[in-house]
Amino acid sequence: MAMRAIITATFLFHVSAGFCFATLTLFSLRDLQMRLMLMGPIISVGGVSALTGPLAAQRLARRVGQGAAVMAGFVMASRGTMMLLSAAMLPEWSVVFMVLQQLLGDAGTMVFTILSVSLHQPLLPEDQLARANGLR
Amino acid sequence: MTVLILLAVYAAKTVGVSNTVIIGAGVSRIGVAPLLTRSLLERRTERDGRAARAIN
Repeated sequence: MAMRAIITATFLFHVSAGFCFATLTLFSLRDLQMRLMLMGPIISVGGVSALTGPLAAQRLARRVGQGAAVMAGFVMASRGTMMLLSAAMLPEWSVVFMVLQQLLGDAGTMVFTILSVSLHQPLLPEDQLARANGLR
Repeated sequence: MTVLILLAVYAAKTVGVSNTVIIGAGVSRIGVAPLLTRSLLERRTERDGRAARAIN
């Protein structure tokens, strides 16, 4: 049951990521009219944030439990994606929302990915691990 | 992933870039629902799974 939950959430996560990140540059430059010089620093915030995710994942799992930490990571990443929606609605605040998207989205993605893959290993038989990872 | 990116490009052409982002954000919200299962939320450590497998 837990495995089915993780696989379904992973599938929906990747559908969302495919839709959002394939169009992120177009959305930022054309719809939000963001300057090209601003895009680099904003995306680099995500790089730093992605480094904090692995550092936080294990601590979070120890504190709240593995399953709850997987969900917390997903909610965080989902909140990050929702920041794109806020940026579309309030374009004058778009820089703030895009930075928040990078901060929450990248850290949450790392926490969710690391902990959900860690859960695959004890839950699935060895000969099915590769198939489950192939969904990503 | 490649298929999804192609789908996103198609959606961006038909409904617009902003709407495609909104669709993506909506899907990420739906994704939380499958995780709201007791068997997942009650799992404290990775060892829980190993122990369960050993019992089975």
